[in-house]
Amino acid sequence: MKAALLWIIFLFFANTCLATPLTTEDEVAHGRIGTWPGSLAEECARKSFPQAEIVYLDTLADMAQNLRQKKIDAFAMNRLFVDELISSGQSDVEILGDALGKTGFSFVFTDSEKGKKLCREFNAFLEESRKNGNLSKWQQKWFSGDDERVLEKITLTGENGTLTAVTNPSLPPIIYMQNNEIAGYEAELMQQFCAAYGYDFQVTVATFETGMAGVSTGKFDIGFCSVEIRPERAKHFQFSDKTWEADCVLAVRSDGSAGPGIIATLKQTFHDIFLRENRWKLFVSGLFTTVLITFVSVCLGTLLGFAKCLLYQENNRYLNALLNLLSRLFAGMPIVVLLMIFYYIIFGKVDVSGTFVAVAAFSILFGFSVFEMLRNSTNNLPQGQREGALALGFSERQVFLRFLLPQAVRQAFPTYQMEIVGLLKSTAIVGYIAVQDLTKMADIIRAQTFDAFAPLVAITILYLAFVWLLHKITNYILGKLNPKRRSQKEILRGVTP
Amino acid sequence: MTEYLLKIEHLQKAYKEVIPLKDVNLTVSPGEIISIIGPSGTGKSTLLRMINRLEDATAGKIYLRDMEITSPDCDISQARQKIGMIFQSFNLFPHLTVAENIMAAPVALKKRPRQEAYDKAKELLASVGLADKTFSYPDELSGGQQQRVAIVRALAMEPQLLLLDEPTSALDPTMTGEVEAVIRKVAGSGVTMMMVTHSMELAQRVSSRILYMDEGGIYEDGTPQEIFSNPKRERTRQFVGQMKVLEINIDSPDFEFYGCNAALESFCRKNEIATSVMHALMILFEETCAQILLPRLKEPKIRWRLEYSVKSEQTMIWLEYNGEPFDIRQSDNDLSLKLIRGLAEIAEYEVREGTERSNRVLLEVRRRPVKQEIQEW
Repeated sequence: MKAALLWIIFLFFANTCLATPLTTEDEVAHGRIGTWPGSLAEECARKSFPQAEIVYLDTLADMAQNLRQKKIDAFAMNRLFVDELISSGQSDVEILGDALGKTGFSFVFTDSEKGKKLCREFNAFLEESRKNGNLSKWQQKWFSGDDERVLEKITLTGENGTLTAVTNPSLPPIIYMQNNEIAGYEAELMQQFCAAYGYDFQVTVATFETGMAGVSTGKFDIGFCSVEIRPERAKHFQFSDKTWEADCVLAVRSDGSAGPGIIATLKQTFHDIFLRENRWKLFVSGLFTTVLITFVSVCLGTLLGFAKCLLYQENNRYLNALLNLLSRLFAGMPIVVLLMIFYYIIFGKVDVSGTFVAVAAFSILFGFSVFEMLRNSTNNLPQGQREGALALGFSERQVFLRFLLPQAVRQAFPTYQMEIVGLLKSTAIVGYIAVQDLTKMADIIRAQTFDAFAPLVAITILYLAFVWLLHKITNYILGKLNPKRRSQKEILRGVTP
Repeated sequence: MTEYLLKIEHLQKAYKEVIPLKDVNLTVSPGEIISIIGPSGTGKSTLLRMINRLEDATAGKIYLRDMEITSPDCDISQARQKIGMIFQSFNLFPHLTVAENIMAAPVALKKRPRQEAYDKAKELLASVGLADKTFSYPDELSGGQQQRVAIVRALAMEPQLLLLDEPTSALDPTMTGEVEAVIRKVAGSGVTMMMVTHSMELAQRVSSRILYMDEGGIYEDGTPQEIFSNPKRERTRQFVGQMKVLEINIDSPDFEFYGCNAALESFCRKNEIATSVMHALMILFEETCAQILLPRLKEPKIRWRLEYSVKSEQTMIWLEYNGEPFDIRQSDNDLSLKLIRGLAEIAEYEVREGTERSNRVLLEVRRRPVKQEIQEW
């Protein structure tokens, strides 16, 4: 196990250190170009290289990794991000040729009266900052590449209310996480804007898609995460004026300089992932969220499952048909869709955290699987158990509670253990509803370090450790459930032999 | 007016395709030990299970003293507390010790103090020789021990009526003895019992009354003496004698003789009938049907019915055929007659007017052929 992990890490870094020859424009024209779906960069790439194949990738780290492994020949991207990538030490990437076009970013606002008002205020703020030189000062600060990039906290008075904002902090230097806080050019703008107009703000971290959907449905007032102005998007939002404009360029492999030795690279990776800017805190907080969601959902879900089982035992035809229907529905529905429904529809207008929504959705989901488990193992008990108890004069409910359930619970337990692990793994998708769990944290760190792989290894180890712990706990409970492990005293309660 | 414990009136159980119980009427007096016997599929267990409503009747009524069990208003749990039931598969609760199995119902339902229930359990266990198994779990006991615990569990509720559904069928032959001993002991203690069983010996030994069930109801009802030694009705006699029956019908002159022979042979092998008897039966079949009857009958309707009693190892042939009254003994086929006489005794001939096959002959197959006559031939 350890050896296998070390091998994976070794192979990964060995790959990193291999120098590769330069790419020509001609190669790119007939090759594969990585980009973000629906971005201006994609448009530029298609226009300049109509024969090339466009490959959609998620993060810059993925693009760099794909490039390195020759899965793509180039990627089209805002120059700002490529510069950041190169200056972060990824010396095997370089910019090829001239700019392909321009791309720029804006803030987005909900398409409502409040949104329109905010948008006007924000545009006025931008205009003012441009005039008094603040804007170029901030750009200088965040884009120059030196290490003075710290978001100074301004105390926000908030006399005009608190704004809800959503962002995806995975694009340094525009917006990213620093010491478990958002930082970057857009974070600076947001803070300065609020300070100037008497607002306070509360920021939620989500994926780009979730964030945009959240702004368009009015769950959030403002969205900022390097959003480009696109005509089809304008239907759903209010776009502010451009906060920044940059060239769109093509990044390709370079021969780079031979990297440091493997040990040094490993050390550097470890430092970048865990120590730099206290990133270990991100892992800790992500792990806490994942553990919290899993643990609470398992507990609530188990209780719910038992409750449903008792309801089912009442043998009400309509109630049981409803339970069956819901059970099928929940079991068959993609969990992402279920989460989205909970987040946007059921809790759409209620101000609750994504973690709460995740716990609610997973509890209900887990409740139905516990219900199914108990029902199946109850049905699998010999028919004689039920009849034997009935013949003694116990009522149906007594039979179920006293004799069938205790046996069914024991039988269902191995499945239950597996379902818990399954639930833990499913929680990795809560990033979709703006919850920063362990997987989401790995994404954030991947975006910051441009390291596509190592953060995933780190969270794998954490997940495995948690699974191991869960197994220990559930095995302990399983031992307790064995009726033969009861003490003589417990069996003989109230009796002197 | 005699005080009855249980009364069953026009009870019927019908499924979509079959009606196992058409019309059952029965009165059980307190203290009776009733065994219910009969071929499988005649609804014996169904009848028992309807008495405590583990199965619902389609029609008819069951009364336990003046409580109508079949009524929808009946508090069936209450009724079941007065009716103990022993199952073929024991149905002990595997997650509870023997003591807890026995104490559960008296403590929870009869609100007995735990100590009292425990002492009672101990006493009952001792009476069935299982005092040392008080804290064992069911899976640590043999089948016979489990069934004894199940009987104790039912007795702990002090039932007015004890139903036993094939209590020894799932047991190894070596263990039936211990369970039967307990059943006899319980029967001697005055509890009213109704037991479905396949064991004639058990039924004969413990019962005060036997019900033979067949044809969708109680076919014959009597004392063990009456049922086992002197059954009045045909099917009872066959069942009690553990008759195996083979019927060959011949409806055309060109019937398949070898097919019939093969059927006869496989019947004999299946029932472990001695080879010498099997050969005798084959000869008897050929001589009676092929040699004597078929040449006489233009449109033959012959039923050749073989009854073999496992118990007495006696074999009988009922030969029924159509046509003018004709005793096969009148046949001019002397050779065939001689052969037949050597192998069987022609016990009876009768003419049954108005039936399709009006002639009937009874042949009792000899265990050993009569040598003299064979030699003569």
